[in-house]
This record gives sequence, C-alpha cells and structure tokens, in this order.
Amino acid sequence: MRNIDKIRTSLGLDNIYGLYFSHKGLSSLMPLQRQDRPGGRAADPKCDPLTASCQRDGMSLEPIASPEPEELALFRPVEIEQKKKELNRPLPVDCETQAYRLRISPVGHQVNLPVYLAGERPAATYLDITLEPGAEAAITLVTAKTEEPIFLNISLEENSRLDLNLIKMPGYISWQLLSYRVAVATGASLRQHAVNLDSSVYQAGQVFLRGEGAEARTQTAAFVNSFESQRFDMTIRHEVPHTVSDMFNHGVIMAEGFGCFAGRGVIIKGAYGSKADQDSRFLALDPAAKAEAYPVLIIDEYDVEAGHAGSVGQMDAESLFYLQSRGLTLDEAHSLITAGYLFPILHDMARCVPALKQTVAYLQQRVIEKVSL
Amino acid sequence: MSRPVLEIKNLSCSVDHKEILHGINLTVRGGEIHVIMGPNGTGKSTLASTLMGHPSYKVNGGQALLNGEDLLAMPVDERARKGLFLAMQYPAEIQGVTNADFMRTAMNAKLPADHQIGVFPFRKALNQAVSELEMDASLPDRYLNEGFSGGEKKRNEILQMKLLKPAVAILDEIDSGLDIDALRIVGQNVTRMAQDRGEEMGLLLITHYQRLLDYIVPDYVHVIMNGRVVRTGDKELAEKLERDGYEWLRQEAGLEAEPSGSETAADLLSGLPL
Repeated sequence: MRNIDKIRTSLGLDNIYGLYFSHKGLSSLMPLQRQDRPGGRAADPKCDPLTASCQRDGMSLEPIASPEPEELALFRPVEIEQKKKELNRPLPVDCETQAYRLRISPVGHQVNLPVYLAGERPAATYLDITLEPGAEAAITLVTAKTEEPIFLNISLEENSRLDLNLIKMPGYISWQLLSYRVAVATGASLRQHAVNLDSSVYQAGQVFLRGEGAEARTQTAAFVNSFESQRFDMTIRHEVPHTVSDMFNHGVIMAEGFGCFAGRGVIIKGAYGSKADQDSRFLALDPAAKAEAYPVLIIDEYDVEAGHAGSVGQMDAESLFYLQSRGLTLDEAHSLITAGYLFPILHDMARCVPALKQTVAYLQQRVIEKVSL
Repeated sequence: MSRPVLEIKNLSCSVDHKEILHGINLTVRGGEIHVIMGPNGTGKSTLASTLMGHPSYKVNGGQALLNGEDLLAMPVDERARKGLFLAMQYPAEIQGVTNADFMRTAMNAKLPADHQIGVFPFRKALNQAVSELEMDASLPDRYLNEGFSGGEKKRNEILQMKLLKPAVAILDEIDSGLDIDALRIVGQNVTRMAQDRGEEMGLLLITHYQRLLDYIVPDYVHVIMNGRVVRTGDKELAEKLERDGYEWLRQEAGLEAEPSGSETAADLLSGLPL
C-alpha cells in the first residue's frame, strides 16, 4: 500500500476533497472516495492533467510562478530571543519551488480539504490560499515523509473563517520545515491546530490581524522524542482596534529532546480594545530534556487586555499522588498525566472540525502508545 | 467480602522535620462510622495523608494495619488496591483526562486482567452514581476536577468512593465548601452507602462541624489535640464541642494552646502543590 493510501485510511479522510501531491508534483483536486478509484486513480474530468488546473464546487486551483527569494524571505520569523538556539536546518529562501494558487469561494457549505504532502517531493511547495468574503473552510495539511520546505501564504477576506490543521503524520521520521503567513481581514477568523508527535520540526507562523473584529486562535501539541528538536515560532500582530488573539501550546519532551515555543504577541499603537493571550508549557519527562518557552508581549497601546504564561516543568507530585491514591500504578499515573497534557488540543481540533474525529482518535492512540512505553 | 479492619497503633509522623502526630491509636472496623474532630493544626489531615502514603509525610514510629497487613510498607497505589480510599480536601485537577476515562481506569486497576469492567456496565454504574449525587450530567466527560467548583470537587470524591467500593474510606473535610443542599446530598449518599455495604466498609470522617453529623450519624467521635487522641465519645461529644468549643477539653487534658502557624501550615500542606 502506498504511503498516501495508508495515511488516508489511518486518518479516516476518505470522503472529502484532497489536494493530492505525489513525487511528481500536484496531481489534482479531487474527491478521494475509494469508489472513485477501484483500480487506481480515476481520471478527473474537471482537471486538466497538463496544467493541473482544477475547478470544483467553488474551489479553483492553478499553478503560479514561483515566488522570488525576497518574497520567501518574509516567511522567516522575526528574532524573538537573542540567545535562541541555532537550528540545524534553517528555513531556506532560495530553493526551487512548486507554487499553486487555491481560491475558495462561499458555496454555502463548509469545505474540508486535506492537503497531502507525502513522499519525497523534488522541490519546496508554495501554496497561495485565499478565502473569499464569507467563505468557510477547514484545510488539513498532512505531511509524512517530506524533507522539503512548505510555505503557505493565506489571505482571509472579510468575514471568512479558516480552520487550519497542520498534522505531521506519526511514524514517518523526517525533518519538517513549515512556515506560513496569514492576513486576517475584518470579521474574519483563523483557528489553527498543529500536532507533531515525532520527527524534528521547525514551524513558523506569522498572523496579521488587519481588520476590526479579526481573530486568531492557535494551538500546538508537540511530543518531542529523544534526540529530536521541535521549534515553534508564532507571531500575531494586532494592527487595528478590537482584534483578538490566543496562543495555547503544550509540549512533552523525552530524554535528550529539545523543544521551544517562541510566542510573540504584538499590539501596535492605535489597536485599542484588542486582547492578546498566550500560554506555552512544556512537560519535561527527564532531567536531560531541554525546553524553552518565550511568551513575549510587545504592547504599544494602553487600552488593551493582554496576558502571557510560560513554563517548563516536571510532573506535578500532587497529581501523581492523587491518581495513585485511586489505585493507578506510578507508571499508569505518569502515562495518564502525560497524555492528558496533549489531549485538550486534540479534543479542540475535533470540536472545531468534526470531520477530523477519526483523525483525532488515531492521533490520541499514537499518544497513548508513546506514553505507555 | 470479610469485615475489614484498620488498626492504627501508636503512629507518629513528621513533615519538614517537625513531628505532627505523637502516637495515634485508633481502630476502625467494617460497619463502623468514626469521626475525628479537633482544632486547626492538630494533625487530622496529617493522619489521613499519612495513612494514604503522601510522600511529604515521614512515619517516625508505630503501625497501621489493614486487615493485618502492614499498610505503611505499601506504595500508595497498593494501599488503594487493598481497599483504602481517601476523599481529599483539595483534589488535584488533571487536564486532558476525562472523569469517565479516569474512573474506568481506577476501577479496572482493582480488577484482574481477565475481569475488567466493560464500557456499558461502567457507564451504567457511572450514570447512576452521577444521578444519585445530583451532579451535572456532563461531568463524566469533563476533565478531572478541572474548572469544578469546590462543591463539585467534593461530590466528585464521593462519586469515586461509590464506584470504587473501598474497604475503609477516609473523608477529609468532605463538608468544607458545600452549600446546604450539597451537604445534604453528600451526607445522604454517604449514609446510604454505609447502610448498603454494612460491615463491608468502615468510615473515618474528619470534620470541623457537627452539621455533617446530622446526616451521617457516627458510632464514635474522637478528638485529636496536639497530635494525640485526647477524648473518644459518641455524637453527644460532637454536639458539646459545637456548643462549647475546645477550651474545656484542652484544660481537662492539661494541654497548652497549640502554636498557630507551623502546625497549621503542615496540616494545610496536604493537597497543596509540592
């Protein structure tokens, strides 16, 4: 069974549209129902195999010119902490890029669009995604064995809503480099969930709240295994009044692993009535585990609400005692608390995108397997 | 199930190198309801936490036997599996773990691998207990104690006791933080459980107030002062304490007033983050 089939089956994403990438590049925008492909992938009459341009149910996809290096340079996050560790694999900006533009119009129903990036792609992927005014979409980016960078340039127009789910498929060990920029217009909202349970990763997000009432809520669940490095940089910039942001990150680190949540909430002068919160926490399972949490706030306006919290710690002894007092062994109590550290983010992802319930169940099972070792 | 017995013999213990209990003697048998009262900082919660095996408390001497087995030699989880239960004054909040998942795990921890409780019998028992305690129906699917009010936490402790069916249950100030209705519901549930299980379960209640005893009628009332049991009586003793306070007993026992501060802090340590 090919990787893409294994991933699709595991995550239960059979009956929704997919942007399907293979080692040859983009294939099509097509329903991924099994009956459509009894003996292999059926020809998609709405896609032109030569140009890979597709139109379906209010969505259009077309290849575009590769962005210039200076455009890609914008995807590098702002330095948050001078003493931050150098990454083994910094985000490249002069790489060969396959670029596509995806537009999603309001079609009266929510679009669930898993984007598979599986296998070894020959070049970096650049996706320019626009949600037209009033559109609602859930885009789930599933990456497996992929080493090349991924760039997402997203524009949320007035009153649109995007659920962006970034899932690194467990079991495929590789470096992941992912960076995205999101511009959020008046009344529009972004909800982002990122889950990475193995592999080293460098993920950077920049969100610009550019219209009144714009909102961005981001959550990350990270399980860092021994000798892995996972770094998540997120900047949310409030540029107009009455905008809301909330970052919530939880990570678990095994021996010799390294994890970092670097959050930066910026409220510029004039963005009064805005609210910015962030909460980044790591649970270190071993003294050799290394973690850093930077919940940074930069505020240049008086009339705002802002809060930030960050912690790196070991398991709470009182919680362990409580669970043991009910008959759980120390190992069972450790496992339950560790899994519980990540589950709120997975549960919230399923709550926001019910179509991902089976996906979340699969990810929960992987977490349980990891903490039961 | 045979009639359980918890024997506490000359137990002394300390926390932070300060001795709190100076030789406690107490025997709780199945079918009996014992109540421990006493001023703040005298060691009531220390006794409960020490029996359960809280790592902050160091046993300096004496014994605690459950059905003849040395309780103090067992790890915390083994004490629980042997049938000891502690309803805590400050239950921990565990994020990401639902009440239902936790309870099923705890129930199965006491059962052999080939007799684990199935999903449907478990949900039936859970829903019945939730109903009897007049708790919110959504409670089983909420995270363990997270965001619970003080009253909800206490009811959740009783819910766990009902499902785990312990041999000896210690309820540490289960009445604190309860409003009038919640106090009645908790009291009635504990009494009903004690009646239903008869000699299969012994109860040891720690409380400051006689009002709980309007619903749970004790067989014995013990007063702990300065780390020792200084008087044992029946419900009338609790009523006299409620009416007259502890000073008469202190004078009668020839005790000096206990210093507030360090001992109170030690008592409060149970349930606080370490």
